Amino acid sequence: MSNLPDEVDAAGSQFKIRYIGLIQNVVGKREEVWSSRTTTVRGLIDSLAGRYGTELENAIMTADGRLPRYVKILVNGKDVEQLEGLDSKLEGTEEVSLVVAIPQMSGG
Amino acid sequence: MNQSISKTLETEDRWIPSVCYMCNCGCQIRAHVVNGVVVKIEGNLDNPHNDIRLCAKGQAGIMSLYDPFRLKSPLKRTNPEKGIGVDPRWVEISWDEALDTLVERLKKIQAEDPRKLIVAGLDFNHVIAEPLFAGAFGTPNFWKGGADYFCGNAVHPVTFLTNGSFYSDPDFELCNYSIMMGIQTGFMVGHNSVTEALEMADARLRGMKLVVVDPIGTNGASKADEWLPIRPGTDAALVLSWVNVLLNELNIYDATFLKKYTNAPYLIGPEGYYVRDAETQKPLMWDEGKAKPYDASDLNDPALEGSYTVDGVEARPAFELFREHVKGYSPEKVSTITTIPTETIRRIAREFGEAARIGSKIVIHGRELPYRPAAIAWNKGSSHRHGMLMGLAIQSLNTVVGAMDVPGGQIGFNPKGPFWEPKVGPDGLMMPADMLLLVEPAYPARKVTPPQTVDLYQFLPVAPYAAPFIEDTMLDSQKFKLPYQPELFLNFDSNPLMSTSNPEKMAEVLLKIPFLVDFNSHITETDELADMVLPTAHYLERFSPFPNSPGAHLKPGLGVWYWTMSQSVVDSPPGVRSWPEVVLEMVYRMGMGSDFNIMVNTLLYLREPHTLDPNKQYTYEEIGEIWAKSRLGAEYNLQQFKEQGCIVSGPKKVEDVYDRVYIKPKIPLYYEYLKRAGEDVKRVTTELGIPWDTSDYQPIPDWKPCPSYENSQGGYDLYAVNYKLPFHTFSYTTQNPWLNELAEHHPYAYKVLVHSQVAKRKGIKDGDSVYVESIAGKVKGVAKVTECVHPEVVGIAGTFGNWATGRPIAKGKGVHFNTLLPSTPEHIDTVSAALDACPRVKIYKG
Repeated sequence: MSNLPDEVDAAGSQFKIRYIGLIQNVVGKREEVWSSRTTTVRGLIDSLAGRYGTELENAIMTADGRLPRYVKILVNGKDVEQLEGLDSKLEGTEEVSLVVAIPQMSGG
Repeated sequence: MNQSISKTLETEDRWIPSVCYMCNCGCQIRAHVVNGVVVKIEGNLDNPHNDIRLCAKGQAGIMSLYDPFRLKSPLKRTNPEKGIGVDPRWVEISWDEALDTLVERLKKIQAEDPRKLIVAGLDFNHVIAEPLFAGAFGTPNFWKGGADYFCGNAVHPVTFLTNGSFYSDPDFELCNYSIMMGIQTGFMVGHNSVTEALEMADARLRGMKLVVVDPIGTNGASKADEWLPIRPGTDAALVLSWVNVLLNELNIYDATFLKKYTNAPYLIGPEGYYVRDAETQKPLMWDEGKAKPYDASDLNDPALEGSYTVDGVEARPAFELFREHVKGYSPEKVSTITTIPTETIRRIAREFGEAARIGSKIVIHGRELPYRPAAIAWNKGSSHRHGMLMGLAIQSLNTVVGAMDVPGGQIGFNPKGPFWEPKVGPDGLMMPADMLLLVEPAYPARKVTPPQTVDLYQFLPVAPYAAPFIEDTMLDSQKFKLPYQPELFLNFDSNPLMSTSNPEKMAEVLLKIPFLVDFNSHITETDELADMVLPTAHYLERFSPFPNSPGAHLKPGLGVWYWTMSQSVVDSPPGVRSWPEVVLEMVYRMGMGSDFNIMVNTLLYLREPHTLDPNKQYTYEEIGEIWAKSRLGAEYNLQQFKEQGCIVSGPKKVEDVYDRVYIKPKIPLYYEYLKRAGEDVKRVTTELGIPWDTSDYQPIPDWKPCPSYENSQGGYDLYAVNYKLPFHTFSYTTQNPWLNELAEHHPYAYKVLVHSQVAKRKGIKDGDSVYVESIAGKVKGVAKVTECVHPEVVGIAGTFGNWATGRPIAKGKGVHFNTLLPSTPEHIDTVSAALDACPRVKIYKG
């Protein structure tokens, strides 16, 4: 698994993406520098799905288009649920974290 | 008295509050500590959880604390040969050597493919530490031992759908008629066992009738007004027959409740799907002569019956389909399935329906609410091949009489609270509050994808977990298209060889994994296969934050909101460590601290400013304090918990406890989405060429026979059934000398229950040595001839029959039921992943 950033496309704004938890199994890395013309988190997910395929979408989105409980997206450390959800803006963003946890916390 | 001795006694004679962990109820305790030694444990004073009382297990905790057979040093094996009964030739090593070895292997796996790590075990007082570690590491493989085989597989999905909670219980304070299906809630067995026992006792004095349906004459059955011995695995048939009698013979049902709070009026088309509005895709109901969306603001009186045409499609309300469906469960037919007499089935249905007092109201704290004082409850008795359908059938009985989350009915474990409540999901149906989701909810169904985990969780889109499938996947990973082979098994305080299925098969599974590390208090049966065993602290020697989850082990019903933390009351012996503290050390040694802290912030819903800094290192207690402030407010701190043990944050509101009439989401009587989920499973498994049964994904529950029901060939003429004793927890307490003594003096605990008719037929006498044999394995025990068991059943209690030399009190006591369990996919519910637990057996002297 490489920790080195990917080659940067200079066309859009740049920020770092951190992959935390199970999502690393899909993207095969812990972080990368991302360049994108999309302005929202939803657009970013589409872009990422374009590169990493439906497996990424399956890992972070429910069938009805929500983020499941065990997936968090942080924009500059702030949970998008406390911003504007998937419509949260990326303008001025330095870091986006995709956190995918274990769905099952307990049993019994 | 010498002055210095007197001073010593004064300063070191303390009562320290903490939380019990002799089972998962999390009772409040106080430990009497004299000169650094615990001399007594009792219930903490004036607490809302267990009201000063403490059960036998809780009081016996002191004997586990001072058990001379506890591990005191990390061990590593020197014998490369592994197997049941093979001496690992342990040698003591330092913690540094142990963690160096472990961390090196973890780093290698994380770099190659994190999925090759399986994190296992379940410590109910630390439900966060394992999944947080596994998640930050990057492995999706988290397996909670026997708890994932028999506990909530077919319970949580159903209660999430219908109560919005992890568990549900009868509202004992107001219930007048309680049916218990294969459980003993209220008899020191359950999730708040002390409170439930007190409430049960009060309810019985008040006149509540109790009917227990169980193949075994358990403690609960023996104290009930009526015990109905039932053929194992036929509960769904019985309940659907009761529903049939109510709907089709007595015309007793709560039409108002069904119309207002359920999807019973949703229109269903000829293919079994909702009929939807062409534009909004919302399900439709028939109201005032036309079809309207389920959430239309002008709904008046939606139809429960009839046939209508909507945009050229023939449509009928879900309720009518349901009512027609249950006609197939006549008491006459069901009597032959369950062995319960026809007249008894009819009588209980009528009594239950009348007890529900449909239409009545009650005023509580100034609020007028529906009053439905009748409830049917179930739980672990759903460990069957068709367990999910059984749970849905049982909740349908509560639903049709309107006894769901209203006074007197079946109420959820705190589905609504001071800062959480159920949400409206797709098609208007209920989704539980995120905070209560210790596992994923059953609704909406998850996407079905090719396997990523060893338990094939991706093929079970509504199950909470899928552990029983691990066995065959590990033994034939190519068949199930698993894209990697596990290399490290990291186990915390569980014992899968005892707690899952047949131990020889489980050993075969674990031997497929090259390296196995176990954190445990003793050398267990599983440790015969381990490479290292690391000694863990007793619950009185460690800290744990919020062991009483509101959704699982915090008293439901009226009362107060309370919060607890468990603290160490004495130091661990040298060489013994609290495993969550060790996990934290591993996290920081591996350089995972930043990811772990972010995982903690997100999974525990920590709120600013009470969050972990990704760039700092924390102790477990520091994390606990930040969590407390985030959850309860900045004015709370760890010291308050240490002094009081339990903090009350305020009274519960009526609208929290009886939330049904206050929340918007509806509950299903018709499970359209299950039908769709099954189609997804079928599509993906077919594409992968993996045979997979999806026939249980149906919108209305049915009874279907367990594999053992139709297979009596080979002389397997009986069923084996496991049951719970109030003074033991899993195999966890079997090494406790006081509890062992109780079991030895108990007439049934360590015995094989054989009905007197069977005993006579087979020439078996009380005290005879007998073998019980299934297609999976054979156990030896001592017969107890009795009539407290169904005539077609042999009963075996607890998780007994230990063989580990490291647990000498437990060794050789009782009978190991799980040895008898076949665990191939044909014996696992393909909807809930419950393992079928009523194997066919034969019994003979030997």
